Amino acid sequence: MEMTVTELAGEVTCVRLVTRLDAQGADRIGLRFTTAVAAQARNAVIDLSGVSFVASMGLRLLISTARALNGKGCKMVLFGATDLVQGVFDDAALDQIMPIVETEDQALAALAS
Amino acid sequence: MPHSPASAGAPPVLRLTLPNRAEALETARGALLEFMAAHSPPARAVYRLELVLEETLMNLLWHAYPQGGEHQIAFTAQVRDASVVLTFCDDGLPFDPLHQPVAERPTSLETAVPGGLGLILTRKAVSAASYRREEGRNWLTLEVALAP
Repeated sequence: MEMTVTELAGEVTCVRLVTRLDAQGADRIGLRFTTAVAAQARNAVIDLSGVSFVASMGLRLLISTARALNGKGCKMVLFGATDLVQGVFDDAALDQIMPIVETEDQALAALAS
Repeated sequence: MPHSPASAGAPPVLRLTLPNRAEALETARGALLEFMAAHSPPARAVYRLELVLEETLMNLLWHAYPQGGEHQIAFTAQVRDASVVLTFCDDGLPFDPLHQPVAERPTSLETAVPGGLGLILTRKAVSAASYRREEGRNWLTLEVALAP
């Protein structure tokens, strides 16, 4: 199971990913992920604790999905990244364009801020 | 069977001939991980190796052959001292990834451009790099430190 979508209290979409976000993984889940997150005008939190690897194609997917949701006036927050994945986010300065926090509670708090 | 003197002390080399198709990514990744297993590399070094491999091959698959057709990419990996030396040789369009302008890192979702992230990540992940164009081929050498 690469992707689980649930609805949290307060009309927040939560997507939990268990996959590699390399070129193949991003291609495989891309449309489903974008649809799950951005089809509705609803804030979203993305659980990355099950993502062992992110490369540039994975970053592109996260950026394009966050941008689509942003266009609807909603926010996407990432949480749970492993140290190695967080290192890639740091190198790409991803935190400059979307909130990245450690826990689900922090992600929900970031939506409220 | 005795080894020849020339090969007796030389560290083993992984040599692959990869097609310019998406399947090359998984083939190369699997072979590189298997090759590296004997060296028990730290997780961070493995991540850097996988990242450099993926970004370099993706760049080749996307941009090296605008006319399409079947081509071969020669890939090698060798552990030298505290680094892994990766080489890529292809007959695609001349492309020196080491002297491309670095894309600005995005400052907002609105201004973020999708391209250029692969080059940024590759440059961050390697400890040394060289490129030359010779006999109609690109020869790219990238070193990844084995340190954690």
